[in-house]
Order: sequence, then structure tokens, then C-alpha cells
Amino acid sequence: MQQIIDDVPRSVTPHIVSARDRKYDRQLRLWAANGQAALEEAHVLLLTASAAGAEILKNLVLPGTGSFTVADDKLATEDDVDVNFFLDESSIGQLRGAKVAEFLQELNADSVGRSENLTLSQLDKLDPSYWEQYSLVIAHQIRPSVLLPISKLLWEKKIPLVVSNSIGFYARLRIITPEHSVVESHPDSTVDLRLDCPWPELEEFAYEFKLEELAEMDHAHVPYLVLLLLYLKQWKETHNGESPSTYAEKNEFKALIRSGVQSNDDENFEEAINTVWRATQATTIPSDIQKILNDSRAQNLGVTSSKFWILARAVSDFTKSSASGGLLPLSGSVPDMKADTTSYVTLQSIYRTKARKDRDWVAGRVNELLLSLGRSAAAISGDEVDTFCKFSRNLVVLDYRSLEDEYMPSTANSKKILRELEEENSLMSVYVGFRAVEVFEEREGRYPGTLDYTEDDEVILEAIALEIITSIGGSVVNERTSSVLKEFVRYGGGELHNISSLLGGIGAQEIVKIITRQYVPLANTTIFDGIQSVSAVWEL
Amino acid sequence: MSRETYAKRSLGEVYDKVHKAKVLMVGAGGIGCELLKNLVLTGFGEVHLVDLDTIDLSNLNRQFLFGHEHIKKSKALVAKETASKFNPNVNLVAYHANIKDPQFTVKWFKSFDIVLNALDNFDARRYVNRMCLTADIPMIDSGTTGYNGQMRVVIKGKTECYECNPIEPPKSFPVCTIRTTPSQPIHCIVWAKSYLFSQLFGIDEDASPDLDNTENKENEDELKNLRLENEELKKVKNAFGTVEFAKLVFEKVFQIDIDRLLTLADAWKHRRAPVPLDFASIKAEADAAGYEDLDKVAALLANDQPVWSLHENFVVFTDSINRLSKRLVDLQNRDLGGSKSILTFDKDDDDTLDFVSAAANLRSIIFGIETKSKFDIKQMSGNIIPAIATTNAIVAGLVVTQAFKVLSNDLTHAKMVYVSQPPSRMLSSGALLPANRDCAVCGVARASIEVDITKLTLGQFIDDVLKEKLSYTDEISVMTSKLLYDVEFDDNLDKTFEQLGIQDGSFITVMDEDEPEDGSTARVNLEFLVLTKEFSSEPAYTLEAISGIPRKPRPEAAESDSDENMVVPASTKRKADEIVETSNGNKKAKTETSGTSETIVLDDEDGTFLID
Repeated sequence: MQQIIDDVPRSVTPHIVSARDRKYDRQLRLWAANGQAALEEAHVLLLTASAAGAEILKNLVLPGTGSFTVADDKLATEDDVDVNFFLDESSIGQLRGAKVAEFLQELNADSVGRSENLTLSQLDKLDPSYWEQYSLVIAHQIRPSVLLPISKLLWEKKIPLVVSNSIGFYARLRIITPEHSVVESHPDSTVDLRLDCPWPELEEFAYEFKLEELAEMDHAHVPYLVLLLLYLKQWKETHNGESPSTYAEKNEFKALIRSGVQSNDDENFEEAINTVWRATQATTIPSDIQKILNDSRAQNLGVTSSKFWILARAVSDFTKSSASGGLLPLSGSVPDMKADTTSYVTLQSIYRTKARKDRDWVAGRVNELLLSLGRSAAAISGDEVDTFCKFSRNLVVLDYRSLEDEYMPSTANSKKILRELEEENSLMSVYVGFRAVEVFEEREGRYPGTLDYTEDDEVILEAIALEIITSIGGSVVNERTSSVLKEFVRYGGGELHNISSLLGGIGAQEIVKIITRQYVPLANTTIFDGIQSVSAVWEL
Repeated sequence: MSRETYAKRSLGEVYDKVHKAKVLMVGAGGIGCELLKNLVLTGFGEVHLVDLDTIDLSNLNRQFLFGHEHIKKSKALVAKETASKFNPNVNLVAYHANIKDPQFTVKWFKSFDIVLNALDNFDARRYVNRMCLTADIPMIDSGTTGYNGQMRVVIKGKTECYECNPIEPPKSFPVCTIRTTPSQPIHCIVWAKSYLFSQLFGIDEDASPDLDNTENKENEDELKNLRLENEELKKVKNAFGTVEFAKLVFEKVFQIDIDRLLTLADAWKHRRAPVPLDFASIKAEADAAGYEDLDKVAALLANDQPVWSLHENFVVFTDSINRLSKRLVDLQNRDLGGSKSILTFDKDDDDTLDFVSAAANLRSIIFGIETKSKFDIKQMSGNIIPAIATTNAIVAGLVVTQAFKVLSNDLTHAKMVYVSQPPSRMLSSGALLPANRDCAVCGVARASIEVDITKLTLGQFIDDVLKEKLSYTDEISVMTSKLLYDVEFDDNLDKTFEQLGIQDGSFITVMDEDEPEDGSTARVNLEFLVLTKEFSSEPAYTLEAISGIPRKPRPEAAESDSDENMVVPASTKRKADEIVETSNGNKKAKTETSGTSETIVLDDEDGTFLID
């Protein structure tokens, strides 16, 4: 047998479903090849080689972010080594940023790392063009007087900035970018059945079923979408052409469907009854999507308009055309259901055909728009049109607030902050704590709690917190905030590793969402309190 | 270290407890790597880690303690090695072993202050849950799937245990759906993987857990038919290793078997009838497309994203059959008598995945079902769970914050936390729920016993252990998965444990049916974990550990469930490992900020006693 088998022609394994794809297999399941490509093109800058900063980068280097730079200006100390996994005893006395970059590089050869010795307190003095090499900047514990001008610069250049802080049991993360649009928001479902407004091909298919003539086995395999269409037709005939709308009517409608059940096998009827609520909802354009379609960025396109807004405009035009019946392009997906194979496959094909038709209309419009803007028709690919149409019910545009707006008393979200501070146990106290610590560091040149005698620091920090609260219209530092401030003093500005590590997870996760433009990132601040293991998200 | 570290400052009084704690970490994978790093850098003094797995390329996108040079090495040992480099002051002990091994006795579990579960499978988690309940050691369980994750503290008698809510068994498919009437891609994938692949290159189909072979009246004929198919396939296997083999298999499963299915006219009256495939014409198509050139085949296989056409599936099918045959022949030529080599399906083994993908797609084409890309089939056939570093980092960070609570005995602030999308609420944390009184796992008393199963008889066990030591009366039942003894059934008394099928790791349940005259209730069930050990002299057992055996609550005691101080679990029942729904999370977050219903401590039941 040995002889024969050797003569059998066959290709040679392993094939090159590359080692790279294998290494990244588990994450490709989340963001697919296009997400991975975006990640591999990115160049991320970390300001401050802190434990939290290193942990954020670790979670970006592991999945293969193209390149990273660590900028820092300190020599590593024993305290750094205690808390930062990417430093060891031998790093003490050496450039902290260089050592962290070196250890991070060991995690993944696909990611290219380097370090820069930058004076962090003078970052605002750098030539503005310096920042253009980066696709995203992470700023850990950079003092506001330096951070604010940088954030303004990055905002103008549309480079996302992620600000992080980690002190003791507390952590904070803030995202700043002028506009972030998401097509692939990964909703739980893209199913859009349109049973209230079936198109002719769907009606024709459904109305051919004659339930009363079917044998038991067939009766149990009529797809529930067909059942709903048939019973809706029957209902409308006796209700002036109206679908069931009130609660009572919907129950009555359910009873009508139930009356058609012939045997215990009729699970398809159960499926139909369970979907009554959704099936009788009028299909419309969700208001948040309508808002995007009406946005001036879609309606007033220019030569610099992004693909997202061109596509949004094309879809907006589609919804106004006679081709659409005033609705979004159909996604084309059909849920699993009890059905015989032929009916199910036919249904799938009816939905897909309609989706393709809608999509072709949009693609045609996109070409016209590109042409009118003097851009190549190839600027937006067919795949991009497909994806946009498929997720058109789930588009997301996040217009972040700038850091300046957050920090300037006149534009701060004062009401929100003051109202939250009054809530029992609100994490807003921790937010105020971080802001007060920043000011303390700026004034004193050190973090609170770093001297042997800490009581003075408690007093100073509380006075600063009061300044911040009064500047936005408040009048007191409440008991809860006061005890949080004391905690901050106790921590002495030091990081606790597991909190920094957790922040590293949250931070990197949001950064991956921003870089891949998939899933919806947080808007715009999160605070984590490791004492209670709770977090809060606010727009500040 | 005399210098005051930041960890010491932040942790304050807890630091000493943390530093002196002895921690058991089960699992050194995605969460495990993060956990170990966190433990080492927050001042934990002694960590034991157990993992039986070895390192795979697909781990490296998140399990950062491992590098390319570590592939195929023990996770536990490498994790220890890498982590100690960064902090030589921590005492790390690694075991490349299964946590279910007998070396890990209840006594050994008892030597820890806390157990951290970082496992990826239900079976091992259930086992550790039971061991921790038996040893009465607090446990923190954690898990992640893609961007979602969860963790919770489990303390015997005080909180829900890992099994207080039933866990769904893995899905299986009726054999007729797989073999005769598939309607979804997954049916064809299971057919290709669990039936065809095993039949050709592996073990017999009957041993496969994906298939439900239960025979009943309705499927009698169909099953008879299927047995005939199996016989024929065995004949085809005689051509194994020849040029003809791929063709014969193809014709057998995609033509002859389908033709036979078509004769079951009844089955196709109301279903689309399958369409058999013709080898010669598809081959001609493939040849015309240039696939006689093996380089072209290799190029086709190098991209797992596109959905293959009919003739492309054909090419991959024949090519992979030939590759697998060659491998199996080579393996079997090396066999030295004894067991015969087989191949097993592995989603990361391209030869096996190519075969399953192509065979599944060809079958889908026959039945008019949508075909899938190799990338998608890999996920569907291999139960791949998406995994990234970020969620693991978040969950591991939470586990350590909860470990601080447990070690400082601050259980009222211990939590269960869920990490989930959407971003409006990243973490939802809730107070721990009280144990489910009807839980078959933590609602029972637990004991472990070392036994020489060849010597100890059931009679001796009942007389010596149950009646004499534990004061049971005659009114008891003793059972494993079957009844071993009760008042009216004493046939087994002279049989040894071995003769009764009891092995190392078996559980024996003792049910008390005695309602004493003083009006008290019967005791709760007692579950023994059996650990085998050789004894040269009598008695042939040692009672290793036993918890108290409380009496069952009176039926009316159930009313106390509405007590304000207890979180009522009824409304929050959920499948284990499922992320709590929004409404639930909100509700929990609310009770929490209102700060009223935090109390979770149930009174310890009475009747505790210990036997050394």
C-alpha cells in the first residue's frame, strides 16, 4: 500500500492560511480581515511609560497593531518596577520608555515598536507636524496645561486622543475625537422582515400557500413568515385594511393564528405567535438614522467629504426615491425558523434579491455622487456599499465633545456633574478627585500624599476640589467626595497594578473599536472604582 | 522589602493578608496569564497554578506569557517561568496536570485560602466548584467570550454556587437530521465531521457525542437504511490508499447514497429532493478550470475567506482525502502492533478542516443548502469562541479586586460583575445571590473518602461509616447514578466498590429518609467523593473530610424567602454563564446604589461536626 499511496497526486500541506491568520484567528472572529487590516496600518503613540500605559499598549501589541511609540522622560525606579510588568530589576536607572518599548516588542514581532525621549511637560512646544505620523495618541496622566493645547491640535488634525488616569483603586478613561462614524456596529441582529409592507414578490410567494389544503407534515413546515403574512392578510380583510395595532387587537390576532394550529408539531405557529409584536410594528426609518441621513455633512457634500457621508447621502436619496417606498435598503437577512428546505431557501432568495436591488440603486447613486464631486468611481468599493446598506439601520455617528469644552467652566457639563454629585455613592466624586489631583500636581509639582505628613495635602486637595465645584456653580465638597479625596491622598499618586491592568483592558478595547471602526466606542468618559467594582459612563 | 510599595499603600491593612495568602489558580490560559501577572504585582506571596493544556499558536494573540518558542510546551510551567522572571520574590508552584487528578485531594484544596478559576470548560469548572464546596474554600469563577465576560464569588452556604442554576448540555442533533434530512449548513458540517470523517479516518460514529442515536418506531426504517450505508462504506475502505479511493468515496456518499435516499419517496413529497452529484462531469469542470495543477490547488487553499464553487469543493475534497490517506498510511506503517492509528478532527489541522469543509459544502449543494467558507466552517465545526486580551484583562482585574474582599472577609461588598456591550454600561455589578436551596450541588453536605475499592464492600461502608460514624439509621438510600442500597434492596451489601462500578472520582449520594420522632426533619443529602488508594490493612478507607450535615429546612421555612434582607433569586434566574439582560443589570445596579438590600448572609445551618 505504501507504494500506491505515494503515487496519489495531492497538494502539500501546510497551506498558507498563514501563520499570521492562525495566530489572530480568535480575534478575526470579532473584527474580521478588514478590522485587522486597519489595526495593522495604525501607529499608536503612548505618552508616559506608566503601568497603565504599558498595559493599554500590551493589549494593542498582542493583536498586531502595526507600530507603536512610547514617549517618556524618566529613568525607571524601584517603584516603577514594582507595578509595571514591562520593567524588571535590571531596568532601574535606565530610560523607562525605552525599556517598556523593548519589553512590549518581545510580545509580538508583527508590531514595530520604538521609544522617544520627550520632555512630557514641554509636549505643547513640539512642532505641530510632529503629531501627524500617528493615527492615535494615548496620554496617561499628562498635566492639563500641556494636555489641553495638544488635544486642540489633535482635534484639528482629526487624530483621536485617549486620556487615561490610574491612581490606587481609581481609574479614568476619556475619548476625544471630533467625529467617529461606525457602519459595522455589530448589532445583535440585522433582521428586517417588513411583514407590514411586503413587496410583490414576497406577497406572491406567501399567498400561494393554502393552509387548509396542506397535509399535517407540510402544515408544520410552513415558514412562520408566511403564516404571519397569510393571517395578516386575513385580518386586514375584516379590519378595513388595518394591521392589529392595540394591545387587545394584537392578542386577538395571536388567537387567530392559534386557531389555525392542527397538531403538536406546529412549532412554526408558535414561532409566528412569538413574532406578532415585531411583525405588527410599522417598518420605519429609526429616528437616529433619519438624523444621520438629514445631517448637513450628508446633504452638503464637498470634495473632502468622507466615504461615510457620501454613502449616507446616497442612502438618503434612496429613501426619497420611488424605489424604496420611503424605507432604508433591505438588509436581506432571514432568521432561522422551522421550515422545509425549499420554502426556506426560496424565502432567503426573495429577501436577498430585494436587498440586492436596493443595494444596486444605492451603488448607482454613489457613482453619480462621486462623479459630481470629481472623484473616481473606485473611491468606494462595491463591498463598502454592501456593508453600508446591510447595516443602514444600525449606523452610528458619535460627535465627541472636546477636552477644552469639558475643562472650561463656561462649556462644562455642569448640571450633569452637580446633579450626579448629589447621588449617593456616585462615581462623579472620583471624577472630581482626578480633576483636583491634576491641579494639585500642576501647582505643587508632585502628587498628593507623597510626603510623610499627609494632612496638609488633604486640606489643599479639598480646597482645589471646592474651586472646581464652585467654578461650575456648585458650593460644597460633600462628605462622599471628601472621603474620596482622602483616598487619593492615601494612594500617593501611585498605581495599583490590577487596576491599571483593568484600565489597560478597557482602554485598549475602546482604541481597537476606534481604529477598526467596528462596534460602538464609549462616549466619552468612564470612571472605574475598584473598591466597589463599579463603573460609570458619562458624556462630559 | 522594607520600602513601602504602592500596593502596600493602596491596600492598607489588607496587604498583610494578601501577602500571606496561599492562592490556587486553576487554568493558565487567557484569563490565567492576566491573573498571574496581577497576583505577582499586587503583593500575593504564594500562587499555585494548574493547567493540563499546552501552548498553541492561536493563543499568542492574548496569552502574553507565551512566545513562539513555547508552542507545544506546558502552559502552567511556562507561565510560571515567565512570571517569576519579573518577580522572583513570589513563590510560584506550577503543575502541568489535570485538576481532576487524584493528587489534588480535598485536603490539598483545603490548604489554600482562595481558589481562582480561570477555566474554559464547564466540566472542569463544575469539578472545582464541588471540590471547593467540599473543602469549604472560597472560589472566584471567571470567564470571557469575545467582548463579554463575567466573574463571581462563590462561598459555600452563603452565595450561589456555580451550579445553582442548571447549565445547558451541549447541543446534539437527531441522527436522521444529520444523515437523511439536513436543512441547515450545520447539519452538513456535523455529518462531514462526526460521521464521514470518523468513518473514513477515525473511530466509529457511534462514539461521537454530536449524534443522538436513539432509536424509536418512527426512525426504525431509516436507521436500518443507515446501517446498510455503513456496511457499504466499509467496503469502499478496502480501496484505501489507492488512486481510486477518493473517487469511490465520492461516488458512494454523494451519488449512490443519495440515489438510495431518493427511493424513500415519502420523505421528498413535501421536501426538496436531494440531487446526486456526478463525479465525471464535475471532474471535467475542475480539469477545465486548471485544477490538475497542484500549485493551483494550493493557491485555492491558501485563502479561507471565499465560498468555493461546486468544482472547487470537489477539488478540495479529493485533494484532502489523498492528503489524509497518505498521513494515515504513514502513521499505520509506524504502528508496532497493538492499537491502530487513527486521525482525529482538529479545527487547526488544515488537512482535516479542508476535508470537512469540502464534504459539508458538497452535501449542502446536494440538499440545496447554503454553502459556507472554510473560515466560517472552522468556527462552526470547532466551537471556536472569539477571544482577545482586552476582555481577559478587564475580568482578571476584577477577580483580583474581589479576591481582596474575600481575603479581608468583606463579603457584603463582594460582587458578581458582568462585562458587556453596549458601551453605555461597561460593567454591571450586582450583589451575590444566596444559594439555591434546591441545588443538587451546594444544597447537599459533602465528604470525601479515600477507599481501597477492591476491598471495601458496600455493607462495611454502610455499617462503619454511615451508621457508626455518622449516626445514620436504617432509613437511608445509597446511590451513584443507580440505586445501590435501600431498606428494601440489600442485594449489593457484599459487593466491593469496584464491583459496583465505583472508581476514582465517583460520587456516592446518601439520602436520609428518617423523620425522627422529635419532629425534626431528615438530613440533607450527603455526597461522597471517592478517591482511590491502596490499603494493606483494615479498615480499607479513610474519611478524608466531611462538612456538617444539616437538616432539611421545613417546607414552611420557604416563606422566609420574602425576607427583606435577602435578595430573592426567583426573578433573576438565568442560565449559568449567560450575560444578564439589561433589565436585570439595571435592577441590580439600582439595588446597589440605593444601598439597602446588600445583606446576603444566610444563617449557617446547625449540626456542624467534624471527623478527623
